[in-house]
Amino acid sequence: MSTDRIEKKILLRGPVKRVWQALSDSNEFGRWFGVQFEGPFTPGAHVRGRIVGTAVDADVAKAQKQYAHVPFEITIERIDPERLLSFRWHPHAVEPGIDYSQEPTTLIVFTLEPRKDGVLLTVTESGFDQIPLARRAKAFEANEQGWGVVVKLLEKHLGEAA
Amino acid sequence: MTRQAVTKHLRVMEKSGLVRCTRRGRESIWQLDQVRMDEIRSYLDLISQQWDDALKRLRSFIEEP
Repeated sequence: MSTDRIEKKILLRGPVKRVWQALSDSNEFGRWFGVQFEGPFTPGAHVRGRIVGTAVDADVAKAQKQYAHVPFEITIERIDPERLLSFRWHPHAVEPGIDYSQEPTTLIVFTLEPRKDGVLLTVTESGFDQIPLARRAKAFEANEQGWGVVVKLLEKHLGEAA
Repeated sequence: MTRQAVTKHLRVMEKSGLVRCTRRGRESIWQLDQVRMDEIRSYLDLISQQWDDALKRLRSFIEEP
């Protein structure tokens, strides 16, 4: 098992233009992700934002709002329209009072591939081996209180939907 | 790999807390720190879960406008 990298794939049923807009337009990205960005995504830009909660799920939004005080910033790397978007951030940088700015970042890459019935989206996040071990251990402790709640809410939500 | 090189690598891992060294006479006994390894795995599981959740939200956003 790699300790450095995560990869996810999801087939989205919609035109590539629609998927691309949901990723590359900072307002749209923010709506599903749960962040309000201060500016557009352009190559090399440092885009700051605030965690405001997702627009697509009220329970998750409520849980996300506990991180409303946390500064959120990404640095855009590449924008290759309808094909690839990549940026860097400090993973799980949610602990108050810690200056993450001098620490290594991880690289997030979204890749779009057209399919007959939609768009195959691949997301990779890599560079975790460079993240201080103490930080990784701490994040797990925080999860016990924070993201554990998110997962429970999600289970509840999916249970109701089923 | 030389004995010295192995020791050097182990020392680096020791600094990260991945292995522990105890001495018994002239012997050095190296052990994997299972707790630390579990923490690293749990950390990746956490980030992985967050991406699963985020992508579910993206799917709702795209497929149920």
